[in-house]
Amino acid sequence: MNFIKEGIRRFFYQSLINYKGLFAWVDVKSYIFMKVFAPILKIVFFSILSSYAFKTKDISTWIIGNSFLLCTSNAIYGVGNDLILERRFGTLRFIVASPYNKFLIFLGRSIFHAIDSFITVVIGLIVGYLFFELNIPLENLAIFMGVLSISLYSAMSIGIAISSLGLCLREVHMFLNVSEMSLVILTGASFPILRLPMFLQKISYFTPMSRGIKAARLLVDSYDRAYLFELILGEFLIGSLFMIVGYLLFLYGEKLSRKYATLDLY
Amino acid sequence: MDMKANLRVFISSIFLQMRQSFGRSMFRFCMIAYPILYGFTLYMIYMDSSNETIINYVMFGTAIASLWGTISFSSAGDIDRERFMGSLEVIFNSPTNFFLIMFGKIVGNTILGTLSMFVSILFVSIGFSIPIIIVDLSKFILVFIIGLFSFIGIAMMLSGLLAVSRSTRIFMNILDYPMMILSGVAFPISLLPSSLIPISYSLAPTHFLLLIRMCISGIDNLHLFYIHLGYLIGLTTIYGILSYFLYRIIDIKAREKATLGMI
Repeated sequence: MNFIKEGIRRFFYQSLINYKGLFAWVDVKSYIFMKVFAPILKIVFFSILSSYAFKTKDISTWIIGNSFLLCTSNAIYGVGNDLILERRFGTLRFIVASPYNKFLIFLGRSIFHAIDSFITVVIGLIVGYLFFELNIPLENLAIFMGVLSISLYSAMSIGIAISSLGLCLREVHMFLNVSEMSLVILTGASFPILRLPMFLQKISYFTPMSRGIKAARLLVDSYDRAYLFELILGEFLIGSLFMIVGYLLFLYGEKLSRKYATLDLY
Repeated sequence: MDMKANLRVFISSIFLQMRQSFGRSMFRFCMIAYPILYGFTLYMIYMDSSNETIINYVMFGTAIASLWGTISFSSAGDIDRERFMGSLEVIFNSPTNFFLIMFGKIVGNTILGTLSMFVSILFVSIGFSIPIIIVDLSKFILVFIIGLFSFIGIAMMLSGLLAVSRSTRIFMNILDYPMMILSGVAFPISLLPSSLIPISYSLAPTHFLLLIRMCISGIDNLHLFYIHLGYLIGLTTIYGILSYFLYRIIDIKAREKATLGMI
């Protein structure tokens, strides 16, 4: 029993250390600027833009979409940048060489980012509620938070896939920024997916968070339970698929790096 | 140093900066990928709007946002980069005026930033078959040139602030959205609360955008055009003067505290 307890303690401790080590903010002021002010300004910008462009006062749909996407700072620049930073700091070789289960390393790395981004998304939603008449019925609030949690799981999984893929690339900044903007386009957070060209609509179908955003939007109004469940399940499956792909990519990269001794070369 | 030598340093600084900036993947993102992806997103949002709205807010909104990214954001970060690489003290101690070298760097970024504007305009125009119609072309060119100077002024001011205060670095990272909200890059400033309008009018990009939009749709009120032009020139001059004094403060502080290169 103690063995399991110790294992869980170590798992969370490692997650926290990793979060603090690679994503830590210099001080409280920096954290407030980047994780409170920046999301508020982003939501204000997209809310005014949506209201003007779609010529409507009811912008709940777009506030929810853009609030959900606030998690990209953690998913892409946190989890997605994780292995790239390890390589830059010269610590990637220790992770590869360690006997610890690599899948648990991956999973642990995203836990604190998920918690952190949960707070950021809630800040975005509060701004929507206070200034732009966003109203989530109280009776749906618990399910809404559940949908948000699954969407964040999905977002972190895309971060893991990006992180593994980032190891093969030199243009890291370009890759991370393009990934963030692609999520804005493909998830339908800021405009209806039906406006996209057909081939992008097909890609959007397999993009993490698109179903989560759709499900969260349903909860603002009346909804069909079966359809909601279908969306949530779909989101969870896509998130899991990305996590597995990310993990396999990492294992493949690890195998190649052992063979060619190119792990830290960039 | 004589005028000729100063000019040579200034031009070298421009070319060196252009080569260095283009070598950074983040700058290439700001210059090429950002105008395309941001332009695409804004077009999808404004898809059902009239051609004039698309030209005003998608084509030129993206162009100004890209210009802002490449000139102001990147230029302001240059001092930080030099400091990180340990070359800030070397530049500062060279016989050429530090202000002149930084000015050259920012002009170098401006040239590349102007290219990013063209990427945005061409992408929206060709990608979505939106004809570029500018009713008053001569005034547009005049406004465009003055606007570039105002962005150079902002960039000089921001780079000076960053040299004086290291906490400006955090502030820099969230400056994008306030600028885009207050200057009406993607929507008219009339949508903002009335208390924010005076702040909006105190920014040169607001007048730059208003003037550009007037030139695109045709100037109905010439008096109003000249008022905004006056504001743009006035604010650009203020930015220039402030930058000059900020660099004087840097000069004094760097000698007094000897902390210029400290990260």
